[in-house]
Amino acid sequence: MLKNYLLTAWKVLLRRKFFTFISLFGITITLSVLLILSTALDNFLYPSGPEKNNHQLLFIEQLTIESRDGQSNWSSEPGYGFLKDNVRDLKLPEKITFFSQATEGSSYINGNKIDSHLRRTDTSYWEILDFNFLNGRTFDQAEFDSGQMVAVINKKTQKNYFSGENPIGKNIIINEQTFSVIGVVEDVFVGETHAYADIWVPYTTFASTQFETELMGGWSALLYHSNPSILPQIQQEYVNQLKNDFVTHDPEQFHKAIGGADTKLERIAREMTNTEDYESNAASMITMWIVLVLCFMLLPSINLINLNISRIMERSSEIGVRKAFGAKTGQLVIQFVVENILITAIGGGLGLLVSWGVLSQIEASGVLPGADVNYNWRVFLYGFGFVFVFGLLSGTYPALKMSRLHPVTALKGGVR
Amino acid sequence: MLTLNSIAKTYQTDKIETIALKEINLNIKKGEFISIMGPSGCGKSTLLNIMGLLDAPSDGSVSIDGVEISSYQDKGLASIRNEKIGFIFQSFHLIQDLRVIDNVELPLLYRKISAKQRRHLALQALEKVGLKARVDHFPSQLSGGQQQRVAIARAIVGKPELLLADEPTGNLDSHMGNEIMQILESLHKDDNTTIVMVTHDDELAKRTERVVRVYDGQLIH
Repeated sequence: MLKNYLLTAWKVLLRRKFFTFISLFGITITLSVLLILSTALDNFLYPSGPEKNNHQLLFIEQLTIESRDGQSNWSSEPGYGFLKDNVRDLKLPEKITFFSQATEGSSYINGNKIDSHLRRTDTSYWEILDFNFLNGRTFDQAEFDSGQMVAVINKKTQKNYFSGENPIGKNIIINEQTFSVIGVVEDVFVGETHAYADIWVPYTTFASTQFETELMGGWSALLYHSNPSILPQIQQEYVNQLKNDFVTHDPEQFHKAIGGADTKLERIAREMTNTEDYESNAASMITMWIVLVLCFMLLPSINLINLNISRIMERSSEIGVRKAFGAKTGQLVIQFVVENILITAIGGGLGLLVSWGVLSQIEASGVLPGADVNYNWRVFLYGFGFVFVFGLLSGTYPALKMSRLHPVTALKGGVR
Repeated sequence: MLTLNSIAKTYQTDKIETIALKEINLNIKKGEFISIMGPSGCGKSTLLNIMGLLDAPSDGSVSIDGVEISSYQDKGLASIRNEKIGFIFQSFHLIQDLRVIDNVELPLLYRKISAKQRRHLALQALEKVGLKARVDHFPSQLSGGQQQRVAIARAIVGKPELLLADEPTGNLDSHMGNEIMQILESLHKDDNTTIVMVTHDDELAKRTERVVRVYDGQLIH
């Protein structure tokens, strides 16, 4: 039966080529946009670079501090002082790393200014994140403890600073500090926000130690556990620390700390919904995404519904014949929905090609540094899901409307 | 086989009530070949649609094989049509996008039959109407007479007990019309199929066992 449905659907598509073109155009554009967004989201949630193990990680990168009188509060990234006093001694994480935000720094080579992103880290950072070393190594604990002026750079920096030559042992100057290059790593996609930088140095190389007492600003922490099922307990431990044992150098002024150790998804949710709470509000964000995607699909669906009704109207005689020979309403609905899913699937295939082309262009253009767009089974799954939902949205109503036609009316070719 | 008991059909628009059929009582025996005659608009096709369970009477009851079907819902009616009734239409109503063989298989799609068995039965039906050589043609590649033969093959492929033909020769010349009539006669004679045929043609009507005449929605005896 399915073969018969598909055969009929194919013939119908070929019969009115202009209608088919308009339908396919709308479907392709809609699904292309959705696939591009999904791919971006997929690469963000499931990166292929150093953050590929993010299912074993919790991120601390937002903090709200309330004043004792409750009149003021401050929200930003945490400061190193806060992390040292409230995160370092958490019991459950297997590894903890503190690192600075990637800040822009400038250097001058032969009179040319080169901008780079500099990040200051500890040694655990390199154990937790899985960088691909092309040359050399990272700094060890002794180098870190003694504040050795050493740096790991990425491939792009090697190209810009050293014209692609082996940089190991050579010096690099950034923000007026001179570092000796000890390692080169593959470029990191800018979407991997905690790993991304051009130059990484020990945070013990800071010119000043003022950062060590700062409560707010400029730092993040990653909490690692090899067993992801332990992460909720770690989240609870962190929240308990904030609620019950919040440590600050200025308890007279700062009374309460609010924040969470978030998974990657929760982190996005917290940022997008601007949540200042112990919970991240991930459920609301997911709901919002689903609603947005549905709304985005609704308009072209309505358009396709109209086209489908016109298309099916032309086939009322066929509906009449099928009914006369025993087709039940449900069987006709399935037939028309299958037909619609076929055209949507073709549009989905085209959408996949178009989005692949667009993403390849984005990757090649360098707009997103380090972007390495990967189509994987998940993106295909999203595509399949979109096709299915879109096909159902735009196919069910016309199918229901037309399959309920009175057989005699249908045979006469009209709507009663 | 088929009994119509006090059948009436009324169409109601905003202000006008049109009586299409009234007080129709008709009993059709198994294996009978009858024709229904009458002027245009007298209610012949409405009567045929009610017999074929395509339309519901406003009043009265329809029984098939002794079972009254007035309580049947859409799903049940579809099953009876699929299993017991075959339709032949004046304008053939073939699906232009499907090949001859796929058109003939159509009623079997709604039965639990394997694709192989469907193909076998469809070929048998096409052989009966002398069109086995045209299985891969599309309707538009056939003459009117051939298209009607495909429509007959589609009507008989499910081996229905009752064949309803609404002016099956109406769109054909007399030669082709005669061919179609011969096929119907052989289906009646060889397979003992019950046939009800609406026609305007006296000559064709005379070739059936009984002629039922309709005038202004009523049977004339």
